[in-house]
Amino acid sequence: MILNKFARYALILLIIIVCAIQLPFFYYKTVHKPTGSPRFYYSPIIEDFAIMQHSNGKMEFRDNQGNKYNRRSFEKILPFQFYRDLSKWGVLPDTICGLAIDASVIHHNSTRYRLMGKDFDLPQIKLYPLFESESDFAQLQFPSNFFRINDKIEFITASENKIDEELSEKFNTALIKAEFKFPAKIIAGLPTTKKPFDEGYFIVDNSNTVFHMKKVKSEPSIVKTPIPQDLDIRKITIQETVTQKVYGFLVTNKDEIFMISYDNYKLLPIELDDFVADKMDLAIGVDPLFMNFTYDDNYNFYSAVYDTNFQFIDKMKIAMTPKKEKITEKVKYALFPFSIKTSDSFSNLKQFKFNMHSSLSIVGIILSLIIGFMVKIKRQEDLKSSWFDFVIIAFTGVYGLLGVIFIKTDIWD
Amino acid sequence: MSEYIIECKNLNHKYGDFLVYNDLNFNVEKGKIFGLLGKNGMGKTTTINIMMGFLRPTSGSIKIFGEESHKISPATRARIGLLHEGHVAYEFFNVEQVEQFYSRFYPKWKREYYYDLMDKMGMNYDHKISKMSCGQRSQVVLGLIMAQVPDLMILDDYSMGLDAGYRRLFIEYLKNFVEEKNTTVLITSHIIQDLEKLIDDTIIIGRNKVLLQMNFQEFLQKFHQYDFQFDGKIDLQSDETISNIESINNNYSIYSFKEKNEVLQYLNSKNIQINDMSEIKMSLEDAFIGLTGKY
Amino acid sequence: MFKSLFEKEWIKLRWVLLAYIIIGYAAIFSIGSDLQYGIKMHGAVKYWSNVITYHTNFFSILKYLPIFGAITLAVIQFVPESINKRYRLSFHLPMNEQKLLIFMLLFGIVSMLLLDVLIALGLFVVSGMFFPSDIVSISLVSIVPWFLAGIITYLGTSTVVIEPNWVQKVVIGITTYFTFELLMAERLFTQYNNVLIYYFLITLIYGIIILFPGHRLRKGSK
Repeated sequence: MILNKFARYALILLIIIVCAIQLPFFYYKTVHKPTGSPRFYYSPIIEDFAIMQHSNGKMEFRDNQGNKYNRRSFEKILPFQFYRDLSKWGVLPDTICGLAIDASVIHHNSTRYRLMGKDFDLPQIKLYPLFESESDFAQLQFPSNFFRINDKIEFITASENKIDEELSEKFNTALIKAEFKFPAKIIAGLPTTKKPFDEGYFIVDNSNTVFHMKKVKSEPSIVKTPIPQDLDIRKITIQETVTQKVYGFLVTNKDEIFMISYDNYKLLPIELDDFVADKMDLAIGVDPLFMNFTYDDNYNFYSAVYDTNFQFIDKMKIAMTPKKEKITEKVKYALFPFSIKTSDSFSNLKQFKFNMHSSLSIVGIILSLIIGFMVKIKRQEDLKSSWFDFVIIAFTGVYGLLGVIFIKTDIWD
Repeated sequence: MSEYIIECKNLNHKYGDFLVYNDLNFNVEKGKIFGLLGKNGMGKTTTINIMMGFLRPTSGSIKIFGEESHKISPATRARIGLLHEGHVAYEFFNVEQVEQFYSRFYPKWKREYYYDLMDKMGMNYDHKISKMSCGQRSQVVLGLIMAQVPDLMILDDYSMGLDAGYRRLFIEYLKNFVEEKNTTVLITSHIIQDLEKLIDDTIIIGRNKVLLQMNFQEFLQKFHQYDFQFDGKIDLQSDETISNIESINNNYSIYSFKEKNEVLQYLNSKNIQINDMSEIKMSLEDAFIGLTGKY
Repeated sequence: MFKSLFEKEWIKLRWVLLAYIIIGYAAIFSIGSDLQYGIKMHGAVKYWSNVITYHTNFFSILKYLPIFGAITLAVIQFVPESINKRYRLSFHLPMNEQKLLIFMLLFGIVSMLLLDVLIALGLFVVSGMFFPSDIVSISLVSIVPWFLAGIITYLGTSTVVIEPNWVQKVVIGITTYFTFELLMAERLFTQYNNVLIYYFLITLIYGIIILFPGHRLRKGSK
């Protein structure tokens, strides 16, 4: 019966799918060598980029002019990053570029921000803790409730799993008074007590207006920020740091980056060449003099440096060998005509993506056809009636070959 | 043609290189009880499997009720009561559940036939089949087949695992039933004694070939055993005259369908001078072993 | 006829299904008791925070239940039908063998699904005692890949059991393993949301493959 023959092909299809997912993955795990990604710093001493990169089994230190360093001399040109070692060696300078420094000054004027490509599709449970912003105590405490904003704001007391009507009403009124349009599109804040103080949440309402919400002495503090409504904001990252110059930064759907300054929420634009927010990882290293924006997509590595007044200083790019040109990739393309990827390094979500490889796969397909031919002859199978098996191999290469060989044909009616 | 319930034409089967038999031909008429006999491993169950479509023959065909064996329709299957080798049954059922299960598949189902037998055996209705002895299970299976009231019964090695008492019981019950209902029966076995009064026609299969195909009573009448003594070696192959020859020291037994004089003449023609042979009266078992050989 | 088949499957499987739901509810009870204890000891806020920020999975005890249940179900359902050539009993029944096999599979799938729904209901109730709807709904969504993996495992294992050829048994078994393993890798809630449709299609394909050994058993090929 036709359905039975179809059942054999269904089984072969399953084998092809599983092979297309697992085999390229096993191959990758076998041949993949950790590539030495370069790390960029900007040195106030040489006023140029300093690069650290793992290469040929050891760490290499150089600057943008090509000069080579050893670890010690490298750290010496980067006093802001390695001030603890320099202090230990007694070579930490008193001033750099006219700025008086010591370990304490450096520490209080340094911070890091991160934005991973993965963060854009991180599944979120939209419940947030609103900390007391001006507590009597130095250490931040978790509140007893979490809030969510749908068609109104609700605070849910965790221990009772019930809505705190009074508190919710208080904040709801405040939001309405500030002309907040429900529901909230984006709620951004840092929900941890491991930060120096609390700036609450930046909330984008339904009319694309950005509000800044805090809890001050148990009362709502809602500010309607002057951040323009036509920005098409994709994501806001808030990070409270001791430098207290910026609340955090904002990314638009056009991959523009703006730092949100404490000066009345003024947006400070940052130009980053080729930046694609959800396909790259961005790190922002802030020290007393510079802000270093480093980003990469695993093959192209960029760095853009601004001073602390958000003026552009310099930028550079290092391109590693494109994946396509590596021998291991060529072998992979020859062996496997396509692959199915179930995960992606720039996404948190599971995928099921079909990737065609290249015309190199003709090699693998021809080999598979030959092997399939030989196996069928050895088994004394009727080649004419198993023509479709060869069609399968022609389209799926080694995956189809494995399916066709292991799931044998039989005498049908 | 339609009088033949089972028609086997030029059936030929090999397992790999091993030839089971060549050119098997037989027909089973309606209402007859047909014995497919032979020693273990000669191909009886193979034939049943081919008949029921569980095996494709190397060449040739079997037709049941006019349908090709590998394409028997469900409606025709309902007319065939099949006993699988070893009295195979669903072990997780009990006596009551198994009857309930099968009753809905067969339009002519008569539960009295089953329960009469169960009551006669004194079986508890909640006795699980997995906990039964071989003999008890064989009765359950027989009961189910009878309740089905099939037009054709195929009983593959009804005797397996049964001691003499259960074998007799099985045959008696069966004979009673099929004679009353005029059921066509194909029965296979390697134990022949109980079948004497049951079988009409028979085929006896030997190694790689059919040894005999005829009416059963005819077989018993025409098959002879002749004993004699001879000093010296006799090297004779089986042929038309001599079905089988066996010896211990210089005591020989010849098995043949021919009359005594013919056999003596034949031996003379082969330069084997014998004065006299005595004809030995054979039991059914003797005849069977005589034909098929001791090993 | 289908009534007979239904009764047959029920007689074989009723205890397995009962065990499945009992173990499922024991797990639900365990989840509830752990939540109560954990919240008492660490505070509700800290517990919620772990779930919200770190996607701490408080119901991971359920993860492998569908798979083990599926394997047990497939074995208990199909082994008694295959050993000692018992499949001949089923194939001699005056019924299309494909319908027979598909019915048996449907019985297994539907019973598993019903019990899974009951277990999901249990999770709904228990998590609802301690968490708001935002967390409850996300946890219910997150067990769907595990239940789907269970169905795939059931279909694959059934095919393995009745497959007569040992090489093919192993190949089908390996394929089934590498399929359900794909659904077991959730680190964060709802990671599978976008791809469940593909796995659902794969499950449908798994539903047919049993006809391949089924047909060959019927025809006696090796």
